[in-house]
Amino acid sequence: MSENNSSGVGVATIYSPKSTNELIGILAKEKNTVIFGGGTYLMSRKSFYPHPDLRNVVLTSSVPELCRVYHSESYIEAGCAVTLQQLLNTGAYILSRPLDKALNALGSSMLRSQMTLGGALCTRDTVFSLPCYLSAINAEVEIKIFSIKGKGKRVSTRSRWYSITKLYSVEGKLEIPENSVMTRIRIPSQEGLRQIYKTLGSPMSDPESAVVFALSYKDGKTMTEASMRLALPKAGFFASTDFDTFLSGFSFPLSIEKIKKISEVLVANIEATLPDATRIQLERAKRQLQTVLFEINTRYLQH
Amino acid sequence: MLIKCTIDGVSQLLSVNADKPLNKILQERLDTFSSNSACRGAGCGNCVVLIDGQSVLSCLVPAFRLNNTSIMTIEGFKCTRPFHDIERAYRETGIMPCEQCYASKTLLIEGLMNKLDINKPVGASLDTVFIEREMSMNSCRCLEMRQIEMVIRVAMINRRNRIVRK
Repeated sequence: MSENNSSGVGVATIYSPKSTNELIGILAKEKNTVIFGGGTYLMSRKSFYPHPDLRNVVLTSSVPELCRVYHSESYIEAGCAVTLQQLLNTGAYILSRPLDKALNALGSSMLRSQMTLGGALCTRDTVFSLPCYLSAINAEVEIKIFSIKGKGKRVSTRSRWYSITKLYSVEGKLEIPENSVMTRIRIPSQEGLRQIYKTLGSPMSDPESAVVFALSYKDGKTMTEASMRLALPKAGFFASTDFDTFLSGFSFPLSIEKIKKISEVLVANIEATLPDATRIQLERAKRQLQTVLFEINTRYLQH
Repeated sequence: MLIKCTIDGVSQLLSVNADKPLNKILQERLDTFSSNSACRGAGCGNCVVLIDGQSVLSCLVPAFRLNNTSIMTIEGFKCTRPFHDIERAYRETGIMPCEQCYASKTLLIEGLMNKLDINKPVGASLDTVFIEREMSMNSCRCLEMRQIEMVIRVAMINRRNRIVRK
């Protein structure tokens, strides 16, 4: 279904597909198409309106399959058009408490009920908090890759599940292929893991200095299965298996010198992988890791 | 694109660009000056309107989302009874937002009160962190969060009394 308008500068055709196949069909056949989730990011861009070119806007919220949330005891599976507020309402018992708290703090309910999961994960030029948080607990996304085959322009589709971390390149840029669409997100409950989520600054209004930090690890005398993620909104996404391996294996309590050394290794790693990171982001990332390690130290000593 | 919606209680049939933000529609076509946003969702929060009773930033709502909705700007809201609960709370507490953010803060308070359970005692249903997060949509710092909380408490009492009297 499409609605065409007849006047104005930025003439856009709005498509409201009723199924994923229809959505993919539109994306495959129409050029210059924008996928519209909740609009919190797209609408805040200067180029959204007025737009100089003819273009198509495809709404994901009109596809019922993409607005559905399914949950079992061990995971939540949500369509990419599910809003953050819907996820929080449905997943209150499955999402871990720290994650629930962190997602609640992402904005007012006004924004959360407009912000979609797909939109928060698929912005190409900025990395927001959600991919960082979900990547630390090994959440996965389903990507449908499509191509046009034959003279009849038949659209063939194949789907694959990717770990969120794999969606980003080493330089931290989103790497979803052009002819693809994200359809579902699977968030595991990860009950045995301790999770820490922090956002410093606002990734939306102050992307040059904001830092998003996420760490999950198996609790014990020794840190195991550590998975640390950092999102520096404009610079990229830091996820290094080498650094995770380096973190795993440290026994608590850690000395002050050791903590300082670990944070310096982190800064060196970020500088090597994300050259666009600003000095304040590097400093914040370093301090954030130090704070978290001190907190773990305190927790360990209290027990 | 033709859009059928209700603005401030008046049925409207608008012919606008499908992707035009609501705040621009209100300013250009309907001469409503309450939603005076220029930040494009970056956080000034001065363009709040109520859509079906929920407060939203009108700069983040495109025209194609408006079909069959009821939009309320501060001009229309001033003519309703719920406005008087908040207006009375302003007078009773002596706390008044500045001219620039009066419209959006009032509509934010209304949106927030719609989410709260009016039948619960005021103390029990109000969570300071929740209020702080909801009101953070408006970046004007003319009022302290403690003052806004006080206004909401009084407005809640006013509203409950009005409903009970009815």
